[in-house]
Amino acid sequence: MFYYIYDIFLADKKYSPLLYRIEARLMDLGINGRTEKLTILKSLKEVMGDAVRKGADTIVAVGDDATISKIISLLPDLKVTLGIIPIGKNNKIARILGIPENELACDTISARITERIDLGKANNQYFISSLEIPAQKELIMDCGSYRISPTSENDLVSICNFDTLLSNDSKRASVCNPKDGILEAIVSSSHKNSGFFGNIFKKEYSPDSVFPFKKIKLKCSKECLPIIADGQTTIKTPVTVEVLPKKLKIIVGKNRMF
Amino acid sequence: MAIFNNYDQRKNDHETETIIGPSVKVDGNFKAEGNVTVEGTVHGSLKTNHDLKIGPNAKIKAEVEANNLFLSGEIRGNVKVINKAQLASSAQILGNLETKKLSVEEGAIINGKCTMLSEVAAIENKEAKKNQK
Repeated sequence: MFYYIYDIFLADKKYSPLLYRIEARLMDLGINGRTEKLTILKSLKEVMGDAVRKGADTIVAVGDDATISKIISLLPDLKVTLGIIPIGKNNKIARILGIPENELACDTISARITERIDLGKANNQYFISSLEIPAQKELIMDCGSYRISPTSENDLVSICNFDTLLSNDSKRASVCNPKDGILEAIVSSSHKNSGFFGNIFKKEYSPDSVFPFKKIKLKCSKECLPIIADGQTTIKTPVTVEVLPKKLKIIVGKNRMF
Repeated sequence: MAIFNNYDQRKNDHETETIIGPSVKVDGNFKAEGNVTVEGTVHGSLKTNHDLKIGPNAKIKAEVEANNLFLSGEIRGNVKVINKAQLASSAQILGNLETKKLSVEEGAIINGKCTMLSEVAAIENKEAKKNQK
């Protein structure tokens, strides 16, 4: 049974026509199921527990990267497949998984190409795409027998399961594969985007250093550093990061980037 | 740099690749499972069973061990190469070098003992490494 979880922001009236089109398409494809709309009064943990008790084998996150991030933190303990219907502007995870936005995603759910992918775990927080750390000279990445430290404060340090720096028009190959049982610590230097407006408004990062690992400890010699998981949750150092190989069964599109 | 064009063609053979960039410092005993490219700083030891490329601006103060070495920077420490060491004109080794095959461009510097490993010694070295695992 399919269980569709709508994020809170979809309660906005501007999304009503789109949600109507999505529901109609799901009905056409014969994959409609139970729908649960999140509100500030409904805890996601309760909703998901309820879904599994009612026999859901596929939970579909309807929303953006933030929705997926919230669901991921609860999903590894449940034996269900995750599907995504991306809506809104922030849909990097869905793009990497090759899932088109809005009602087009319904066909991807229906085609049901599934992959078992790795998840990352930072202390007790699960993440699907990456951890982002503001580069500090005091940051130390301890891999047991050796330690890595960035020497520049302008760099971006990320721990990646997906290559989140990779854009659609990027010419370089992805440095991450979410199916290899390995995470990558990436130190990226910033360079200004080409073009007049790019120079003023946008910074782009390209990976300078890549360290594949299975377990790493992030610490800071001075105060606690904030680390952002999947662009949503903040964790403070020291943080132990490890990979959980093939932990998540997820529906992907044929244009996935791995 | 013909040596590095050759390296780029071969590096796709292995999936995991470590890149130690110019803005990173590694301290301790670094051991990689795949190819390694160094443009930054390494102190301690640096080992890989695959290819090791050291760029012109890298600062290596370590014992180095690799299957193939493509060197255009400086290494301060002893170097052991199981198969082939290729030294570009800007390469410097301040330590002893052990390798089976050696290619040196004009201008490269080796300040230390250079030992050419025979086929048998190279195999023995490889087997000893396997046994250690």
